[in-house]
Amino acid sequence: MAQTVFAPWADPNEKPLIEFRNVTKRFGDFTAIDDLSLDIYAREFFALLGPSGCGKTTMMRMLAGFEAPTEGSILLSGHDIAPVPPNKRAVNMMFQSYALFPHLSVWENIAFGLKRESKDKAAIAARVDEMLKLTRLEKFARRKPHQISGGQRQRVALARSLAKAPKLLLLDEPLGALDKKLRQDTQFELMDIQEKTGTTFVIVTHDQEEAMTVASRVAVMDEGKLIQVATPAQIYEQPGSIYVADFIGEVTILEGHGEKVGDAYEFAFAEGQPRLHAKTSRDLGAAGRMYLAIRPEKVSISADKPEDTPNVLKGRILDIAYLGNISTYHVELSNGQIIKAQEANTRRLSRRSFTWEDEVWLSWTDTAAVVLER
Amino acid sequence: MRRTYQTAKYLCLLGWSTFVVFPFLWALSTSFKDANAVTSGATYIPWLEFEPSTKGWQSLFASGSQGINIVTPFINSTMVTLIASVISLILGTLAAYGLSRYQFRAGFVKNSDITFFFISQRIMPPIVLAIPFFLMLKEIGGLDTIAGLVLVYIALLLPIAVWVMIDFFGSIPPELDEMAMIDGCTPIGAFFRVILPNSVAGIVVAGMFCLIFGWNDFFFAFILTFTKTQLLPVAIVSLNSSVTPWWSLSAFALISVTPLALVAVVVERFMSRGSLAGAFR
Repeated sequence: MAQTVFAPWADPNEKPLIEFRNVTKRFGDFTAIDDLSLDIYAREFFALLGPSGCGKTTMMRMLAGFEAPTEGSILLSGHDIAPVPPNKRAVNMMFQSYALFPHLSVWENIAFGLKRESKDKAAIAARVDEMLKLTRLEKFARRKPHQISGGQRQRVALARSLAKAPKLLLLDEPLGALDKKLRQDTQFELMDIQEKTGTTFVIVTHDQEEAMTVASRVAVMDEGKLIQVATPAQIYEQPGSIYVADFIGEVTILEGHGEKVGDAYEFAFAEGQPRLHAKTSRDLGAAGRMYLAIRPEKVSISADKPEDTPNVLKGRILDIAYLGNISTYHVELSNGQIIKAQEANTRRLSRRSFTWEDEVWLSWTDTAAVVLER
Repeated sequence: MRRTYQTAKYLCLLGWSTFVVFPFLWALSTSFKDANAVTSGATYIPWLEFEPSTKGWQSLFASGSQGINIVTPFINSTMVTLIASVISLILGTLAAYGLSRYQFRAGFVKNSDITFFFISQRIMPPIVLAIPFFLMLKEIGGLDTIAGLVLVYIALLLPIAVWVMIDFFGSIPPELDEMAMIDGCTPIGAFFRVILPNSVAGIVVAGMFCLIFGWNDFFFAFILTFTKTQLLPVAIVSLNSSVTPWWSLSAFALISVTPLALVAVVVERFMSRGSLAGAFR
């Protein structure tokens, strides 16, 4: 049985859980959010990705109720949330700093929100125990926040924010304080918990790898605007602009003149260099100035000139960045242009085929590169 | 070289410690002297240098012409200091929280101006304040009363409480308040349920300052009271007449120091509580 793909954004009948409608937020003269519209659907794991100061945290604070839009409106389940104060919203939040209550035990931290809305002690205890189990914290229930490790604190913060079963959970750089290994483990844990609870997660992060790993959709932001909203795969493989291509992962960007030939573009980028071919479904006009973005792992590197490949360039190895599992080669063409190529290190180092100053051939297929307008 | 340094270090420390502790030693030894011993030069070691006597201590609790009434000033001082400190602490904590979390504006007056206004009350020399306070208390019938003194002491202690607590609340990240609100608290609820329990250390420090300044104030107590309501510092000084009973005066001074010393010992245990350890990261 084929599993249905989770893509409510593609279904025109689906009602979004959150709607940003032409939201603008100004702080004095500074525009943090600039006429932004966005729909987020129930059960999504939605990532807001961008450099610091791009407005992603402001969006989150508006959802939590700590900031109000200067213009426009935000709807939660179809209702404008502007008049609803933070303590009355069906929204919870996990702060980057966790903000655990230091005077309360782990158990009391998780029970805090439940006690505010219910007097039923048995129900609260049952819910807290359920949360402790979900986050594997049963053993630490009686401890104070300063008696547990950073990773455990992170789980307490998560358990506390999920305890009231919010419609929407906001996560502000939730894994920023963890070291890399723990962060990777926790990413999968987060996805697992999101799936189990069915809560809609909106995560703010500047770590593109984290966004790609956890999110069902990613919104790339810059200067208060959405640059592209798409699935991680689309963002990576089909970036809509140089900004997105450059922000996510490694890429070589060539600038040149493109000319439409059938369903592909012929691309001339330098005097004396062969023309490149790139198939695309986008229409960027018959001819004009355009850009070609190529991911390094899609570029093959070889000692002999490859046959039957639409894109072949000759160059000289300038630099090798050895990352253990892969190596990135910086190959300089005769006109000085540098193209990055990546190879998986399937062999031991001693038997590696290329080294500095080697003359090599670079090649890629006609679907490997993306043609961009800007 | 290292030995010389160590010796010099301890000599310096010893010298300074002696300088600081000497007044207490002097008061302690004097409180056990009689008139004879006091007038026969500077002596410090009982039995060896002078014959100890408990006359000074006894006189504090004796009645009649020989007795000095310490009990009433003690109770007066305790009441005035405690009431004024508690009220200052309550008002000061609330004011400081408001100033640390919300932006107020009235014309050109902003938060920093309001904070400065609180502190500025302690910039003026006390003598400048004393006359208007005297006139005001006279108008409302507050001269020589506990209530009048409490009023004046609140005016003097409130700036200290506000100042200490603004600084303390500034060290608590607003995220803690925001988290409390997200978890269902109103802004007031966030203050009482989360911020206040974590502010014990700051409140203790502010309270200590209030108690010390209130308990030891001589100037305003002297100006604003006459005979009915006497506070400890004034009572001590009033012993200083044509023939000063140094033995009683010393014992009196030592007793008046005791409550603060006891408070300091008890309170010190609370200082480490309510630290924010574990709240963040």
